[in-house]
Amino acid sequence: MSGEGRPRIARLRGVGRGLLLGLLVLAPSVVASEFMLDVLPHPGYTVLNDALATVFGLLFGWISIGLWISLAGALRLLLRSRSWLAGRGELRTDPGARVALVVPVFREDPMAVCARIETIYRSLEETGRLAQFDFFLLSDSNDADAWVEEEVAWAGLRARLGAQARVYYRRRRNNIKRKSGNIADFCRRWGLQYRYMVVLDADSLMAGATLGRLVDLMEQNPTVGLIQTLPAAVHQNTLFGRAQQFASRLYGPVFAAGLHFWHMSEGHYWGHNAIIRVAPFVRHCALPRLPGGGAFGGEIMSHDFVEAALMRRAGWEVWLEPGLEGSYEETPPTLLDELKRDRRWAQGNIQHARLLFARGFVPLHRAVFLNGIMSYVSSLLWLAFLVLSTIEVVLHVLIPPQYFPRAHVLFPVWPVWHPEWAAMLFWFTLAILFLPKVLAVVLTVVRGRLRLFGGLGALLLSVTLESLLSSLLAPVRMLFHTMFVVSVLAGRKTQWGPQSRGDASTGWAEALRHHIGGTLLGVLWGTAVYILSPHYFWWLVPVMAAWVVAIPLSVWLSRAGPGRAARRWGIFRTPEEIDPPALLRRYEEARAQPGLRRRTPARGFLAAIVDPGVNALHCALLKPSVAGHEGLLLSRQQLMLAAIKDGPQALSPHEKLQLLSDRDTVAALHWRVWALRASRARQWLDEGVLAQGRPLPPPFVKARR
Amino acid sequence: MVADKRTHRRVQVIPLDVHDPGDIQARVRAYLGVLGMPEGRIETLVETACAGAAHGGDAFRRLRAALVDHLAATEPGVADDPECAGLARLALWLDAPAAALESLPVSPPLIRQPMASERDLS
Repeated sequence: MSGEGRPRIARLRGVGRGLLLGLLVLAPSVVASEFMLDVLPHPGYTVLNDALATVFGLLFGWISIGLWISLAGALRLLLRSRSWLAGRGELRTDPGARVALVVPVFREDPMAVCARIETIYRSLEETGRLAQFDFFLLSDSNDADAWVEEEVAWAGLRARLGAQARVYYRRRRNNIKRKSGNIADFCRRWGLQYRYMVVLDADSLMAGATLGRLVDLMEQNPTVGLIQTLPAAVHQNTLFGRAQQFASRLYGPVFAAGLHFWHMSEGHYWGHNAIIRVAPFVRHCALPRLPGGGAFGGEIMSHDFVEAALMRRAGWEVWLEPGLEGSYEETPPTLLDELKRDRRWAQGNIQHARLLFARGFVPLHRAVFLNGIMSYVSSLLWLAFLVLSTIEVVLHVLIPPQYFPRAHVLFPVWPVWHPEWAAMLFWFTLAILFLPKVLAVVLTVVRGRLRLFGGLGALLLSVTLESLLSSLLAPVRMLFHTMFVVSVLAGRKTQWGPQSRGDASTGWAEALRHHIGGTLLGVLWGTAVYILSPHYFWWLVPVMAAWVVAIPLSVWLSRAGPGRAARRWGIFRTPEEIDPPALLRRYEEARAQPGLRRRTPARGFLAAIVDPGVNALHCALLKPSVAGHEGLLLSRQQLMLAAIKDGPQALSPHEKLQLLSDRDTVAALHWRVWALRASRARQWLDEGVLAQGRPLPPPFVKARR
Repeated sequence: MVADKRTHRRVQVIPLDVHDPGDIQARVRAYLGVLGMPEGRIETLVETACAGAAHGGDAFRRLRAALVDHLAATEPGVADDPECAGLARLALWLDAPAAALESLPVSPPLIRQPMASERDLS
């Protein structure tokens, strides 16, 4: 089966929608730019005014995209329109369709990941679809401790699920191309045995019924290559996380319905909580290494958009299916965690500029690339707008107006500025920004979903607070995103680090380190503007004030205490908090399960060497050692001797990985360490463990007088 | 004190392994405790491993063989090799029959296929 036979009309429909959206965005942007020119003081500085109007027009167009998407989504939801994907053909179920559920991980909390896999496994078992699914925990962890703990958590999961459970663990030694390379490696090794794969993130959860439905939708639509679900954000406790969770839960479905409307079969792939037809993915979606260096060369960092575009380019449909419940994810718990993630995303999205004009992509996927780029470049534009407008004001203050710009004129040219027009444009822009939120609230009321958000009062209060919070955070994000864009364009690449999940919190020192620059900029810029033009100062207050309060705000929002208090007061409550689905309840139970019995405090690398059970497990999962060349054998021996002599603390992370990679060395070191005399053994074995085997001293008996 | 062959000086040699019989026994006992060996079998195994052992290395070598014997008593086809010794420890730790653990490292058969990179994206 191939997706290449898609009707021409579908292609034209895509182009038509793209053109319509483009027109809807472009026309008001031009009008807004023109209006901006009228708003600016006259006579002004032509170049400056033109630049201001252009930047404003670009920003206006950018924010109006969100409005048009939300408007279409709201209409679809209001009219209860059926999903185009689900409405085609007869629903089919083929129990013979093999599905691999793949979970790529990179230094995640393995116990939590395994609890999620267990939850999905049990849910599939309940729905009777388990026989179709195999599970793969695909590790890219490049840290010895993480590697060993993943193995232990996985073995515990296997012990709980039983020997027959098809839950596999694989760790790549070289994590080239990161997540996309990890998935590609799976496809190369095992892809031929599966018709579909469901890609999950380490924090993803999906209900068995949802997974079954996804498989059926793929069976029903043989020209579809990929279906993306809309994951609901869950499990947030920090105030920041809960506000984000609430926003994504309230506004997300409207926005996703809008994307479904505009993109149709040329939809999004977000890299997880999606089902993919394996054969076309293998055939068409391998990612190249882009030639050259700097920001635009090297490995493709944000792979998901590109994979969707490649799939579509090959003729396979890509759908965002927002109507499916039972798909969940977690969001960054703190502002700084979100910004760290954004640094990577900024680099990945800006790199897509290289692909904007690549051969064969459909226009809507080019628009997706552009949209991704604008997500970060818009911050640069916003800052540029503030800088340009400040320059304009400063020039007007410092340079006296020329009442007679030309010689031989009878009447002076009076400076004209219409503050009321500026205010009107300001309020109009705000309306465009906030209308999607209003639409989401109205829809919640109309569709009778108020109870799911704690009632009308709680919903309105939450929306108001969330809007205030997002208004405060927007300038902070803007400043960071601007720095990211500049840093990416300067060719600085980010490192691949593990993601924070759970209730991480930001300390004062960390917040100070990251936000002090913005705070100082806000104070200096604000003060200077206030001295020069107190009237203009008030226009800048929403931005400058946000920069000034960023440090305490970042710390306060990262705390779980205020987040939980907000939940008690009914603020930012989501349907999953008010009435937790069975899947989330089952996850909590799985999370509370004790792991495998551990009788030493050793964890990670140390456990793999000293704990007899963990060592045996690790050895069992390694391939048998091969007799390499003499130099390799000698270097292993040398490493082992160094480990015995100086203890684990003397080993570098790379040396630990080297030791753990060879089965004979790990086994030999295990027995050597246990046989060492006390002074050397203490470097490895806990004092309590060493004391364990010693006979107890004779009990002290008090002599009777 | 022994004479260094190169310098002919007398040097004190400290054995690398634990060598006091009481200490050897304590170490082996601790090992079996950490592994989760049932209390009733620990002393027998300590006796088997430590009787006549010159140092810790010697005792643990015997213990490894004893663990394989322990596994062989219940499972057929067990040989005195590192793999079986590992399996024996694993079975004890996970409290599961060795047969159930043999599938642990098994993954679906590898049927490799290429995933050639696109070369004409930009």
